[in-house]
Amino acid sequence: MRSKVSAAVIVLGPLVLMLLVGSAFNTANIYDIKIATYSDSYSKLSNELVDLLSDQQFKVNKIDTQEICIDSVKQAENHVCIIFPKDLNVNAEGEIAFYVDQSRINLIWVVIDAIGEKVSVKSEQISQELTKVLVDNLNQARDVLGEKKSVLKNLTTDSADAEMKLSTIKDDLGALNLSSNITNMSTIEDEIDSLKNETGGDFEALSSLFGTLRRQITQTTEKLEITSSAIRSKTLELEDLRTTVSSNTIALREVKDAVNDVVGDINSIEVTDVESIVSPIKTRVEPVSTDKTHLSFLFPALLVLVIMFVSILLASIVVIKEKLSRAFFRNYITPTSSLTFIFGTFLTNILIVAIQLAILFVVIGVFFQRDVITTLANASFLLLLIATIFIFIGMIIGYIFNSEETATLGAIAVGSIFLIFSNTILPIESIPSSLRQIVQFNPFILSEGILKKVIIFKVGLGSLAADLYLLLAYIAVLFVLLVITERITQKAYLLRKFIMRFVGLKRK
Amino acid sequence: MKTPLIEVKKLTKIFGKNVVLNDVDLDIPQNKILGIIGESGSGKTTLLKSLIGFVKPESGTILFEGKEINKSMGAIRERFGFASQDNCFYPKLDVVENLEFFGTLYGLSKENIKASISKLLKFVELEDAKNTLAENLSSGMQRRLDIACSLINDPKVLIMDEPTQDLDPVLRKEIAKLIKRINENGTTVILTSHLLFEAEVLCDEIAILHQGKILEIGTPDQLKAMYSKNQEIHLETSPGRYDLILKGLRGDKSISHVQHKGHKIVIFTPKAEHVLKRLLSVVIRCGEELVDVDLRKPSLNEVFESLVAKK
Repeated sequence: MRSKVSAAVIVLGPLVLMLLVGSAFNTANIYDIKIATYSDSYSKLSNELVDLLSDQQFKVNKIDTQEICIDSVKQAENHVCIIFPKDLNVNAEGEIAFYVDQSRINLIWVVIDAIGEKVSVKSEQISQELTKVLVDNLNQARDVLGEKKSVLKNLTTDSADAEMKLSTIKDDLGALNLSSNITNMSTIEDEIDSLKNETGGDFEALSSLFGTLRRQITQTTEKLEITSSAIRSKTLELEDLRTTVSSNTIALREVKDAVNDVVGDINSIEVTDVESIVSPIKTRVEPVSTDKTHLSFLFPALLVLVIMFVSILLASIVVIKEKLSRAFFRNYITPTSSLTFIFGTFLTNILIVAIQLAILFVVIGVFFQRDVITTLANASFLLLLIATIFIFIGMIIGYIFNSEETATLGAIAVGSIFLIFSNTILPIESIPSSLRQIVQFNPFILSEGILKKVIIFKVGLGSLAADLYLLLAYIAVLFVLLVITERITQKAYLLRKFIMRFVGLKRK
Repeated sequence: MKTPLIEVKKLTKIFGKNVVLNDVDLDIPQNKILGIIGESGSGKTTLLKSLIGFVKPESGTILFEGKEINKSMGAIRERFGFASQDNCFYPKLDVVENLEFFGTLYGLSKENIKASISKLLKFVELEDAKNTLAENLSSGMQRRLDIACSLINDPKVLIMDEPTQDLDPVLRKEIAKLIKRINENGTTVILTSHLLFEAEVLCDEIAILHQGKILEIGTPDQLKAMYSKNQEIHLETSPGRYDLILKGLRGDKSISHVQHKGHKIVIFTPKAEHVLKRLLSVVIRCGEELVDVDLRKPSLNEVFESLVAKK
């Protein structure tokens, strides 16, 4: 604890770390989610959804082609690509597709939830509107049919009355007795002829016969008169019935019209599919990579994690060991340039890291049956660059600190900061944008991002020029810093050691 | 007069409030062994490290073959060898590997390294241990390996900071012999030591450094002649009643002073012959049995004490 730097690292290190983490992650929000959208033809609904998503939290860009839209997710330029079906509407069968990078395991569901929340608000709104149309139609049908209910009631009453009346008329008409006792005229003629022959003109018998006949005719006539009277009466009743039926027909027409109106209204409802009413906007989530397992998604981060900690710790310890070794002073006074020592240390480290990576790839390949050969072939150049960056950082730490303990602590602290402010534990989208402007240059994030593109999305190195330039720039800057640090610290360390010894001797 | 190989002129070095070297002037002759002696913290190591350009002085210059060393560090480092107080090699490498490594650092070709290693192993008598890990060597062998590492570039000047420190007397003698042989091969040796008797035996010239200043420089004999007229009588008797003997010598004005050294006493006197005669008669008179008596010339230690006491 006599060393001020050591004391500062031990005491202030955790505090600074907590301060950084606290100020960065003390929020439940995610910021600046970039959404790319594409549709062959944006409908009103599509545009409404795009407008709905365009707020402070989300930045929405309409992309020209579906391919570019999906590629932008692979390139980490956008978090989600939303493909709207052509002329999206509620009745259409198409689904809105969310293309996401599932390797961002800890972010993607948050983003989908956030977008889904907005979409579901719109969906709910549309569902309510559709349901309202249904309910309005039902209400209208209820009112109309309610109104016509009394008409139907009257019609029912009238029909019952008419039925009764017709039954009475039928009975009455059935009861009319039109039978007569008038003998058959031929019989009468036969009887007259008989009488003529028998009597030879006895008119008394004939007169009696006629008398009988007259009575019978009189009786028949009376019956006919009664019948005629009855028919007149029933005719009047039937006339009444006709009038009733006629008015009922009008009423029935009105009812029919009303029912037709209701049916027309119901038929005019555009969306009648229950699923469409309940969830008018259908979505699906599509991964942009073909890999499916969590290991596949974590593989680039795992690689960077191994490279980072191995490189930083190893490089810092190698430098410290060298610095603390007895041979250090002899090395220093030889005519060999310090750059040679820097390259020597770097080569030692890169060899060890390469061996460790080879072991890692073999294990992954043998035990998890992943196609590591293709991946290694494509990624080896990047791994070299990434390892170089972290080895340089480790070497700088080694040059700055003067004891193995503090160098290890410093290396772990730096590695932890890189890890905490990467996407591995919490997505950097949870950091306020001002801080994220700095954090996005975290070498861990850069390395993981570029490795992910190569390993998961099989992007060729030619398409990663910008990322490669950034890594190379990092290496150049770190190398300059490394040389400066080495120049400043190495001699200072030896001198300080010498002076401390001298002062110790003087005290004796 | 022959031009010195190294000329230190008005060299001043300050660490914080400590003036470590104060206007040091020193000429170092070629092919000699120069010993810089002084107390701990007197500035010996600082002076050596200034010679190889590791310590930058506040003022003054150091010339090597007439050229200022700070302006030609690369060339200087190629022609200097440095063996510091601690062994400066890799304990996990064997003897040959260490030599190869440092040979490479001096930019030697593989053939040269091979030839140098072969020669050095023989020279420092480490042939049998050439494949032994440095950490497994004995203290003396480690010291020899360190010296061999310092010689890998066949330096014109070998600087040795306390080369026999922490070694037992046998090993010290062994290393001293080695240093002599290095010098005989034409290498100028500059060494520091706080073991004055060792420096006296080993060095052609001795510079006495005290509180950052060179108090005196010269051959051991010159220094002794300048700063001490006394001779030393080392006496050992049995049963060793030295108080009785000294009582018998009381009043003799020719005795400068007496020191008790373990089982012996040392009597300092400019008139050794006279005192020795008296001393032997007193010993007989006291009934003491004479075990050992030795007449020695004054030691460098006395010169050093004398010089330091004056300051």
